[in-house]
Amino acid sequence: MPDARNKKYRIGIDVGGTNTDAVLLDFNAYSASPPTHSILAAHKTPTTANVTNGIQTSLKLVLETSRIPKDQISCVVVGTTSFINAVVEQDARRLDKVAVLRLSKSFLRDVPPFPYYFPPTLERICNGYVGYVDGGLAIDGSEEAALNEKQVEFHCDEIRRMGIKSVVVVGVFSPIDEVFGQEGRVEEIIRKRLPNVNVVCSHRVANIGFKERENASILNATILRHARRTVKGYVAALKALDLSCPLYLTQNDGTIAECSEAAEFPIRTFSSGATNSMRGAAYLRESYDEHSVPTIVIDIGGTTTDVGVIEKTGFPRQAPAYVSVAGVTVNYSMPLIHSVGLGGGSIVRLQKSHVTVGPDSVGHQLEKLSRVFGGSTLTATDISVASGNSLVGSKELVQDLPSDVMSNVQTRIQALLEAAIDVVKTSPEPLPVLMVGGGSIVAPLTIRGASVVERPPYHDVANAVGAAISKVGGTVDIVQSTSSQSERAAIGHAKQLAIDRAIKAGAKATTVSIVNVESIPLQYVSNQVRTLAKATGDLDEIVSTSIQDTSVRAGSLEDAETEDAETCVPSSVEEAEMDLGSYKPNVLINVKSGITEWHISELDLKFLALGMYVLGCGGGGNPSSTEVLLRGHLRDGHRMRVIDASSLDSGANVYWGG
Amino acid sequence: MTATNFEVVLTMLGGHMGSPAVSVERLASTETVEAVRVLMEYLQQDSFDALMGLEIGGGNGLEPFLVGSSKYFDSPVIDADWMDKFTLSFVLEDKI
Repeated sequence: MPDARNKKYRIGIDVGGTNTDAVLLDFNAYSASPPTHSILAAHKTPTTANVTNGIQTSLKLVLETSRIPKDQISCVVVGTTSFINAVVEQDARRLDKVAVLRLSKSFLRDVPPFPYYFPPTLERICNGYVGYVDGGLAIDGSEEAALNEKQVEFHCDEIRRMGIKSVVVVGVFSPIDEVFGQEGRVEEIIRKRLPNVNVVCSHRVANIGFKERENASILNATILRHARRTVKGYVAALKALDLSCPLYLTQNDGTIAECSEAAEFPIRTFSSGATNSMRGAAYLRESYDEHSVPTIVIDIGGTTTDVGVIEKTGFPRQAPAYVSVAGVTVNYSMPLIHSVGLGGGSIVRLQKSHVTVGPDSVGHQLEKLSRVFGGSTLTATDISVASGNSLVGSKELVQDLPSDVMSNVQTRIQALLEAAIDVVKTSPEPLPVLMVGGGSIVAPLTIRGASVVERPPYHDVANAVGAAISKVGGTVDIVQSTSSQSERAAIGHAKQLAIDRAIKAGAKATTVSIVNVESIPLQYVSNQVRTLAKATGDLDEIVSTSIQDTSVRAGSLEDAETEDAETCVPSSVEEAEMDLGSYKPNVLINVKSGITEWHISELDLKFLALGMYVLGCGGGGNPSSTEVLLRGHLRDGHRMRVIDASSLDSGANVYWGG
Repeated sequence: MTATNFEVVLTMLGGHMGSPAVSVERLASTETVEAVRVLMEYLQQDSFDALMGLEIGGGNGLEPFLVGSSKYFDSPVIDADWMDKFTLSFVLEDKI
């Protein structure tokens, strides 16, 4: 058996919507200068409908180019946007109907899982069944009600009758259910009665915040079958090439997960594309130094530009509050990304007094519609070629562009990017900016607010590089009591637990360090503190599992290629866009009383809920679930009205409203 | 903002009290409606003229609309609140 010390090469693969990129990296040369010396091969091939082929091709190419023997590859790490894209594109072929079992005796019934929280098409695809079971906990960990197992059995029979294959179990306060394990017990019952059904327990998916945790669990459950099928395809690609090293998938936070575990929690990979792009870009810059200053990463694609920040830890800055995936709010830690509608294919329009660039774009039809490729649409790429900044297509086809048009467009693009980086900066000091992505040819090389603008070598395979340099992590997010330990001790315990988890996941103990730690007291509840900690380290090649085990597990699930497509055509316009400038509230005179009344609309509710949340400064709680409840009233034909205080007679009887 | 001249019979004052850490798990329901019903029974009143919320802010802000919806009491909501915390004023200073 080859010595683990010889396994110093890693292959990173990024499976994108259009292309699959692969790099082969000498991991021992990680801190080489320049870092590009560590890259021994890099290739881009089109992503195939059958994932196995595209990956196989790219693996073969990097192995051939680098001439590294297969037994010296320590692992293959794959990053993909396939799972999040299936949700964003509302692709019915890759998403399944889900049954939701909610555990609470007295709560939740007025705010159902699906309408309003999910865009209509996604709801149609996912909403299979909703059942309520007595159970649930209180905030101090005691039971709201004992679990009613008979009800679980009843719902199982209904689910079987409807043929639903994915069940979400979500209980009130389940993330702190250390004692009763209600969700786990429901899972056991379901597995016994419905052996071929997937079960997702919400406490394994996300933390406190019922609606957001339920949403995240539903998204995880709907994509589960597709995720397993896809990962099986990756495993098949490695096998076809006789690669016996382990396969990992990258997660939202830049750490890796063993492939069969990643297939169980695809939601944890949703933003790995963005994370890998940023981490890869930071690695590739000439003056790579993990602890210098935060770095802004601008990833310009065909249609959109995503701007993020790499902190001094080398990991992306996370979004501050709840994030929204395909219009669904989830409480998942995802990178902060500010997106603007600027890309290589952005359509340029010449108005009388100014130029506009995007937000619409020819997208991946660039090589058909753009002028440098013989089309008739003026795009940002055309301007870039005409001004000599890039060499694609035929420059002669855009030679007639007047120079003032070119400079106006470039000024406009520069302004868009300057505004974008201003949004993510938290102080006025200029920060280094890295440009990656195929559309980066349209960007200028100086931007106000940037200390330096760099487009590193291999920038077009930055995602694959990011995958290859992923670390192994352990995260902890637990509520601890401080009645018999100090807050400091609780934090210390969380940190140690994170380190232990990282080592258990395969990190080399000597390389593990804490990258993030937070402690949040719970409001109005005494002696409870929520402690979060994350530890990361380098993968310990000696202990990583062999691919043989994972293929056995994947083999017990449904076969890879058999899928029938019952396509659901996504509606192109979900809800009509409201022109806020011309909106007028509905104010009518009540014929009986003569009083002027403002009849509340759904939009009014939305404004009111937002404003109230802000004015309550968080301490008042979030009115959003009441908003959903009231929206239901309006849709059922009910009304609610507001009057001015002066409309009341003296002696009027006024009740408290809540 | 001028004070309005009317006399009202203030019947009750209250709202939801507690930690948002609970309300993020136990979602909105109709407790307020039930509370009003019980109190009406107790006070032996079978109607009222209008509702006014405790505060136009936070989780309590939308409760009056729930009680006043035509699904329950079909009562108008007064454009004001008992807390009077939202008399916002700005002082703009010119600084060169």
